[in-house]
This record gives sequence, structure tokens and C-alpha cells, in this order.
Amino acid sequence: MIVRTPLGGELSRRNFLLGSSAAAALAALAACGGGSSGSGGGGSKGLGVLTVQLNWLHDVEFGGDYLAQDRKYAQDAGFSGMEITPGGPSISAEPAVVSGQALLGYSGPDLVAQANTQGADLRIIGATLKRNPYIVMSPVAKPLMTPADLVGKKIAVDTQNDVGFAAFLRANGIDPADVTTVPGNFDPTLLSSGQVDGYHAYANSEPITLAQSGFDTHQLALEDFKYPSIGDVYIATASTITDEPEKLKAALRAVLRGWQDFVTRNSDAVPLTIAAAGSGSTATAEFWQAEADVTREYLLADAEADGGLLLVPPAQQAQVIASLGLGGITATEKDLFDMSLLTQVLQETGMSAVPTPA
Amino acid sequence: MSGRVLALGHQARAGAVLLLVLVAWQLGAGWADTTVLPSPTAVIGRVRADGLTAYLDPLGTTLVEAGLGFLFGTAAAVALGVLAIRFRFLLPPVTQVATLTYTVPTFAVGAVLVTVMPTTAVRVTISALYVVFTTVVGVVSGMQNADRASLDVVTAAGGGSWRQLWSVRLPAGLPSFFAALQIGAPSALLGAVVAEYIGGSGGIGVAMLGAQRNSDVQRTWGLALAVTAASLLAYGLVGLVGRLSTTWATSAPGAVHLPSAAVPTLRRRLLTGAGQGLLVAVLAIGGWWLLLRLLDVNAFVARTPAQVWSYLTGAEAGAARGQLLQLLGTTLGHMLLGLVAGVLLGVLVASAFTLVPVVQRVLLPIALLVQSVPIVAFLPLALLVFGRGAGVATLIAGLVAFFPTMVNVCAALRSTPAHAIDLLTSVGAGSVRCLVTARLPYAAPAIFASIRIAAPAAFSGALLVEWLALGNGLGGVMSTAAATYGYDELWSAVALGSVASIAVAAIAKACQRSVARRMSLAVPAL
Repeated sequence: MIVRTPLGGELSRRNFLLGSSAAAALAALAACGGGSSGSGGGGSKGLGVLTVQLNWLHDVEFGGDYLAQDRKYAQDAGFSGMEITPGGPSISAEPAVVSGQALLGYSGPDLVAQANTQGADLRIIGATLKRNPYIVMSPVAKPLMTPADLVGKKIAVDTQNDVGFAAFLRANGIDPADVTTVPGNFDPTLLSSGQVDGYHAYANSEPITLAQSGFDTHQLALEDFKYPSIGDVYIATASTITDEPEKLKAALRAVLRGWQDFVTRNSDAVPLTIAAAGSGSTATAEFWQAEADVTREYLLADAEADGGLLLVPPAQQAQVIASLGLGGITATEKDLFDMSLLTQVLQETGMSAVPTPA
Repeated sequence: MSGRVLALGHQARAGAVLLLVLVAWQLGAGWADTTVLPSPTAVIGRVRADGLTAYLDPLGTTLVEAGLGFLFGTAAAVALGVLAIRFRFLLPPVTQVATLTYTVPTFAVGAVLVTVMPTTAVRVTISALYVVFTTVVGVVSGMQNADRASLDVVTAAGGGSWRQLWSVRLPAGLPSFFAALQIGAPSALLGAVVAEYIGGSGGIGVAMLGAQRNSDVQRTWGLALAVTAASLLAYGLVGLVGRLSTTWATSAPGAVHLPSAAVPTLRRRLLTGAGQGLLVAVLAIGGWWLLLRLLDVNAFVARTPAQVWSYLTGAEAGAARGQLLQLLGTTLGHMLLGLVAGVLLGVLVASAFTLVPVVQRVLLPIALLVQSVPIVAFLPLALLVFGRGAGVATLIAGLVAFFPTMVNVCAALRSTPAHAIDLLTSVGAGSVRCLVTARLPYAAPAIFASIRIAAPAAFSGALLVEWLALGNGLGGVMSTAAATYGYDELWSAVALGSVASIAVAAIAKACQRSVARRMSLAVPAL
């Protein structure tokens, strides 16, 4: 069927339909684009869904969050639900939190400071590991006992920790150029196969892995050698703290209760971690339990004295800032930390008392 | 009838050789370091101990992602291909868009995409991107090779271009289409696994990350073999469907025949080249800007073409630019090592096959099957064996370059013009003499056609290995930049890498055409 257009040309019906539908589709796409995607809030239950972005794959080190999710503490606090999204080698929390995809995220102080230099404007609002979780593992047969022992050795360091590791060396008067580093790529077999002399690792993770495969390690804790810090910190954007303090306080209430339960009985978090990790992971309950024990140890470090779980007091904040400075990362307590909401929550709920492990 | 018997003979021989390989592996594992190379029985025992669920569940997740990616990628490629054939002027831009999907490092894009869509959607997208290029080439070249006489019949009967497309070109393009699908299925699976290495929940890639972290070599092998088995199954199934659908086809599968064109003048060639280069730039930059807008990517993570331009050419750009160019040099070095090794080996193996035809009948089917093994699944193991040096980069880039070269050169060596062979045999030349004096020179265009596909693939392979394992080169800086939120650096590295990859492909294409022209053979139009 041929249609004559006003200008006298011919337009076959089929081509006309094709052309107009294509134009309509493009117009619709262009109209959609540029509209802002809302930050997952505004649900029928008031606060919407509590979204937490992890900085790694599912792991028992996030046990407090799994407990909060399982025991519906987020719903008690006014949310309609709780979503925990795993990260991975190339998925960190900062982009998700900055873009509004997640309300809370997990990170490390050096990465948060780094993101802030790129314009992220994030704040640390709580910390689950109150000691620097980084260690240098070495074989018990050939242990590296002090930083000086690292000179001339080959140490595996995961890429994103290069800066922190160099800072640790400098804090101990060692020139980073005197220590050979290779990419660790989250592969502890580098140490057990003898390809490296030491491995810069997470205290609650790689040593347990190697111990379970029969390879015992000596651990040099960076915290004990002039490089104190914290780990697995909760982050939120400064604008959320200013504009939606009640929402963040509700979130903190929920996760705080989860972490209190974790202190009381961390074995409850093990089956939850196994379920979250899914059948793709063959980590055993024993492995997760060993890791949960180390995590609890770090969670409880000075918590009583500091006034409650997750709280980072000004003195410790200063230590973290100082350590970052050694790595050439300039930050101030004001740019990096905001404990105001957590302090209020601890006071209002009376949760400043730290439970004892069962 | 005899053809079917011969086919059975092929499979029986391939099966026998596979069995031999398994036995050799079992025996060899006894001598080798079992922490790196467990024997097949150890792996099977481990799979049974873990339970099949621990392997089938992640595999299921990956298969769903790859299946969706395969579907969307193929649909997009078919749509693009049909448009390019129906509207002649769209062919160059469509080709360039397809090439761009091939040259952009998808893993770097993935880290940005996770901020605007759920992880599963990111994995499906990356998987689809792995499929587009080869499928577009297959669709277009198949339809362009349609029989001229049949097309004329349609026109004479009053049919238009769409009728020609439907009745002649589409059926004519089916064999080539299914050949492309056979490559596409394993590619989609590979893309899904690579995307899972970014992180997230579920899938073979995530399971391998977990296994690697627990120094669990046996499980890593089990997972790698599981995804390989799925890949081979997909390859076989698609091949079967293809053969059943196109029983009337006469051309042998495997090699892609690019349509030929008339030889234009030098001035014409330069103008066309410049025009195409400009087109790529416009499409790439336009598409980049448009996608940022449509997906509403957050300003923290996103960089527009203008921002990247000022980062690379602004007032203080010197140091950054110099560093990136130096890293590009490292990656190009890895690519060249792999390309040279892979192409040389491909030509050698193809020559060996020609001299000893028995070996070819046995090993060629296996080589085609091995081509569909997702190399990235075996990367952790390759690292254990070869360490983390240029060797691994050469290995991966070389493997990627080897297969298309071997397949294409094999086909070309078989199709040497009869008159050339007859001339040599009439003066008493042996098979080696024939090979060196006639077959190889006539296969030169095929060698260059392979380089055209292999070079950008080798470049991507080098980037991947650098990103995942080595930490140096352009791939390494992408990994570091993403980890330290240096998005200026990340986007600039991706842009630079894409430009280099396109340049490499263009140079290879120019070489191919030049060689074809000098030898007075058909110059490819695509």
C-alpha cells in the first residue's frame, strides 16, 4: 500500500511504520536519559530499604549485617527491608554510596581518604575492626619478625594496598624501594609455594586459609609497629548525614544490634554466611568460625573503654590520620570521620555497654 | 551416506585422542607438582567430595548470564547486519560499531557499569559484547555472498530489497551465520566468566575467586573443567543445529569468506581510510557521550570525552600522558610477542597438517574444540605454572592468535589453485617444495586475514592478563586506577587502549589488502 505524503513523495506503509516506530523509540530513550535515578528510598514503609554495599564477596567479617538482616532489625528501625550487596576485586563501596545506590558501604580509611581527594565527600561513621587488620604473613620456618626483616625480601601486596604498605615501611624508617613488592592478587599460595617471602594480608582471612591447608604462618601486625589504623569501616556521604540523619541513625541502630549479637554469639553468623556465599563457596563452617573469632577480637579492641561498639574516639581518629599522613594521604578528622550520629544512637538506645561473649 | 560414515570416523578418532590425553595427564600428574597439576582422578574425587551441586549451581548461574548475553548479542548483531545489508550506506558505520565492541576493554567498563545497573545486568551486557563482533562479520559476509542470479530472479518478479533479503540473502547467509554462532556461544560463556571476576554473587568466576583465596587448586581445576565442558557442549550443540538447518550448504565450515571488491585508486583508498577513521571517532565519541547520558552515570565515576581530552592534552597533561603512552608500549609489546608466536605456530601447524593429512583429520576437530575453552578459567592455573611474567601474557595472547590463524591457513593451504600445484608436480617437486613455493605464498592473504582478527584479540588478551594478574601495562593501570578512584586515569587508559586496538586492526587490514593486491588476488571488501 503506497501513501502519498503532502510533499508529493511516496512512502510505502511498511517503511513509514518502521521509520516512525524507530523515531518514537529514540525519542523515548532520550527522554528517559538525563532523568535522575532516585536513591532507593521513599518506599511505602517510610525509610525504604536499607542498602548496604560490601567491599568484598560474602564473608563472615560482615557477620553483624547478616544477623541484622536475619533478625529483621532494619524493619524494627523503620525500614521496609535490608539488602546486602556483595562486592569483589573490582567492586568497591565508594561508587555505590556516592551514586546513592547504597545508603551504607564498607571500606578502609585509606580508600575513603583517597576517594575524598577525588571529590567523593564520604565520612566514616563507624568501624567494625578497631585495630589495623593488616599483617605481614611469613612462613614459621622463616619468619619476618620486625619491619627491618622485610628489607631485601619479596612481599606480595594486593594492588589497592600498595600505598598503605609503603606508608607502613616509611613509618619504620625503611625506604619502600628496599623491599620488592609483587601483586598479590588475593592468592595466598604465593607464600605457601615459596614464590614470595611475605604476604601483606588481612588478619582474619589469609592466615586462616593457609593454616587450614596445613601451612602455619607467623604474623607481623602493622598495628604493633607504628602503623595503627582501623578496618572494615561503615561509610556514608556527608550530604546524607546532613540531609537524612534520622535514616542513618535508624540504619546504625539496626547494624549495631546485629554486631552486639555477633559479640554475644558469633557462631550464629556462620550459617548465615554459608547461605549468603551460596553453593559457589566451599569454605567450611570451621573456616568461617575461625575467622569470626578473629573478627570479634578486633571488634572488641578497646570497645568498652571507647564507649561502645563501632565507635572510633578522637584519640584513635588522630592515630588513623597520622598513619594516613605517612602514606602521603592528607586528611583531617573533620573530612574523614563523623561519629556524631553513632554517639547519639549509643546514648539514646543505651547500647554503649559492650556485651560479653557467651 | 559415506559422508556421514566419515563424520563418525572423525568423532571416534577425536574421542580416542582425548582419551589418550586423559591417560597421559593421569600418568604425568604423578611426576609433576600435584599442588599445581592434580591428576584427573584427584579432581574427580574432589568433585564427588564437594558434591555436584557445588559445581552445577555456579555453572547454572553463569550459563543463564551467558545464555542471555548470547541471545541479546546475537539479536543485536543480526539487527545490525540486516540493516547494513539492506541500507548499503550503513555498512561502514555498522562494521565500526562492531569493531568497537571488540576493542573496548569490557572489564574496565564493568567496574563503571555496576554503579548504574545490577551486577547480573552488567554480566549479561559484557557477555553480549563478547558476541557482537564475530556474529556481525558472519551475518554480513554470509548475506553478501548471496547468489547473484537468485537476486535477479527476485527483482525480475517485482520484489524489492526487503523481498531479496528475506528470500535470498537470509537463507544464503545461514551457513555463515551458524559458523558465527558456533564461535559466539563459547565467547558468551567466556564473557560471563570474565565479568564475574569483577565481583558480586554467584557464578563460576566468583567461585574461582573463592577457591583461589583458599589456595584450593583442585577446586579451581574442577570449576575450570566444568565451564569448559559446558562450553564444548554449547559449541557442539550449535554446530549440530547449524548442520541440520543447512544440509543443503556446500561450503566447508570454519573459515569465513570475506566478499571481494574492485581495486580502487590510491587516492580513493586514502580518502576512504580517512573517512572511515573519522566515522569511528564520531561513532565512538558520540556513543560514549550518549551512553553516559542515557544511563545517568554518577559524576564521581563518569568522565565525558571532553574531560578525557583535557586530561590528556591539558596544561599539566605531559606527565600523565607520557606515563600512559609508556604503559601502552608495554601492552603492545605483550600483544606483539603473542601475535608473532601465535601466527608462526598457526602457520607451522597448518603446514604440518597439509604435509601429513592423517594428523590433520585427527587433530583439527580437537583444535577446533579446544578453541572454545574459556582461557580465563585456566588463568589462575597458568599463573601457577608460568609465574607472573611476560610469559603468561605471551601465552594468552598467543593462544588467541593461534587458532584463527591455524584454521584459516589450513583452509587456504587446501585451496591453492590447481594449476600452480600441477605445474610443480609436473617438474617433480615433492610436497614440501609445493608447500613452500606455491601453497604458502597463495595462503598469504589468509595469513593476513587471520592477523586482522587475531591482532585486536591479542591486544584484548594482553590487557586482560595485565588487569587480572601482571599489574603492569595499560591493563594494570586500569586495575589500579579503578581501585584508587582515579577515574580520569581509568577512562583515559580505556580510550587510549581502544584507539590503539583500532589502529592495530586498521594496520592489519591495510597489510592484508596490500598483499592481496600485489598477488592479484581478490581484495576483501569488508
